[in-house]
Amino acid sequence: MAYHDFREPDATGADMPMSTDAQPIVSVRNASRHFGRVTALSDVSMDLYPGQVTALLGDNGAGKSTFITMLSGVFPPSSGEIQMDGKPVHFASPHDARAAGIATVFQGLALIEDRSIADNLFLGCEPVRFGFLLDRKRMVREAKGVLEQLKVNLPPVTTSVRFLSGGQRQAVAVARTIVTGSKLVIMDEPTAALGVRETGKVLDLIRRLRDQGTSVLLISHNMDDVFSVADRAVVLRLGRKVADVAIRDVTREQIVGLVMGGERAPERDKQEAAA
Amino acid sequence: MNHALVSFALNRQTTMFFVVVALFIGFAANSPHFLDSQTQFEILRITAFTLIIGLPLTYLVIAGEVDLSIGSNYGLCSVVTALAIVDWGWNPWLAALLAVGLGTLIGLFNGMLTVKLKVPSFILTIGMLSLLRGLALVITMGLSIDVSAEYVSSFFGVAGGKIGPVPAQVIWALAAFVISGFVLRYTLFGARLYATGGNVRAALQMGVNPGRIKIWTFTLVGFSCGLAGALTTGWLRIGSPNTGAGGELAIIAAVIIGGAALSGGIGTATGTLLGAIIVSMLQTGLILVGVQGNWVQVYVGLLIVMAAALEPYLRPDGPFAEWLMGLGRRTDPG
Repeated sequence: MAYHDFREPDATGADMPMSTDAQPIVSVRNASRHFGRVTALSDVSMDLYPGQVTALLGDNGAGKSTFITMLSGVFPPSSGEIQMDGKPVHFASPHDARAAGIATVFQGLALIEDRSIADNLFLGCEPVRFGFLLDRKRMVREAKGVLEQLKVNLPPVTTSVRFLSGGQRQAVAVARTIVTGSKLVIMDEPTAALGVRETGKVLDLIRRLRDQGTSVLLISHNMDDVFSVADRAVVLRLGRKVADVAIRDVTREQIVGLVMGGERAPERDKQEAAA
Repeated sequence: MNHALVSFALNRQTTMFFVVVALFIGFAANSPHFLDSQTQFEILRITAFTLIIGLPLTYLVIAGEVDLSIGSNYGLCSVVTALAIVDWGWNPWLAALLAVGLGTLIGLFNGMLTVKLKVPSFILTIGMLSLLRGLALVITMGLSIDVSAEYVSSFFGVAGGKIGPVPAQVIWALAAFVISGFVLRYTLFGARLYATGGNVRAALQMGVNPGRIKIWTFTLVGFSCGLAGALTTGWLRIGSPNTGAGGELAIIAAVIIGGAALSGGIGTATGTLLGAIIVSMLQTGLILVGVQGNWVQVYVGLLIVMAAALEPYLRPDGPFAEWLMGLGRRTDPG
């Protein structure tokens, strides 16, 4: 089981400049996915760079879920491939993807209510001695370290998740991706159920992940969130990629137009221009 | 009142410990023979059998499943031990091994059907309850098998002897308790057991294999039924097809009173120990106080109903805890 010691910075460390000259961490090449006769994803390519927040946008049924479920290893693309650090990879299960460094913060957060914060952080990759004994001291120590690194305010790590607020739960789920040393963190609607203040905290978390050189793929319907943290936006419509733009080059209205597909002709031009 | 204090005051174990003490004092004051060492060891012996099956059942309840066929499995294994010794002339140790193996296989079967074929364990094990009890009656033709005194083996000492005044079963149960508690608290298996029952989806998403955990746990429950069956035959020197009939209720009662939640994810070995002591103390004490035998069942049932009904209110995040916290805030402004 891949276990990453967070205190030793990765080779792709925090001081990696945010630029497209860098080698992408994950590249998706011409991926399509069919379910029976339905084409959920059609010939989508995407590069995800370290230290960059990419917003994945699209209306319901645009293929966002299919795309991230595929990246997190639940099923492979029907055609096309996923590359990590330039090499093609095949994930047989979510566990494989996680071991390779792709962590997903699920919408349900995948937390166990009646277990402690530390237990939840290490769920599925518990540090053990002699192969079967839980190393609780190490869990508590490293849990504290990870939470300090994220600068989040949580009760003691032995507290049950049951007592945490929505934002605090999100923080635990995000911290979990650091514990496993992920290079790419996929977040599915992380602020959907949160209030204004908690949303702000989660966005701070995303920025901190980015500053540490992690690549973040953010799914959100909230344009405020997208414009405040994302560096780049990729828009899917009906399973196709229709735009891949730097956030600073577009306005909110243009993005909304791309997602809705209202202005068909001009946005096709844009796509061609981008290509 | 702070968090730690509230959760201590509302700790299931703390509450139950006081219940145990209160019951003990109540019975001791009202029955002249309750404090006899014979009575006390009898209570411990009943507790022991409840625990040997109840502890693995606690695991299963934590994993979010239940096994109602424990009493029948236990009875069948007891009968098979006696049958192998008397009818087939097996060495008693070998007969015990056969019983343990049979129990384990039945547990494995329950686990496979629940996990692989997705049969709800509640329905499946009700079927197995009837099926296994029926088998025990069929192979004995409804009659008990006596293991007469002419069969001599060290097995009978290990199963039913005494070390000083302490019955051997109590030693077996103590060992089971220590191991179970340790596994739940300190091992990877324990952590994943709680994860499986606490949130199957999350466990799956995080790379835990809940199905495998459940199969192992069902198997362990079966193993404990086999062990209890062999020990009972060794102790009483009789293999009765009615052994353990209705026993599943007392054992499940002990587990539920002990705080394990049938919804999964919650439960401790200490809780089940206290639950088992409460149930066996009631069973013995009520009779000693002069309560008619049939009423004992009523009281045990009442206790289960109360434990289940009060549970949501006594949870650390329930109304009672909030009220206690509020109390603290009012007396301590700022």
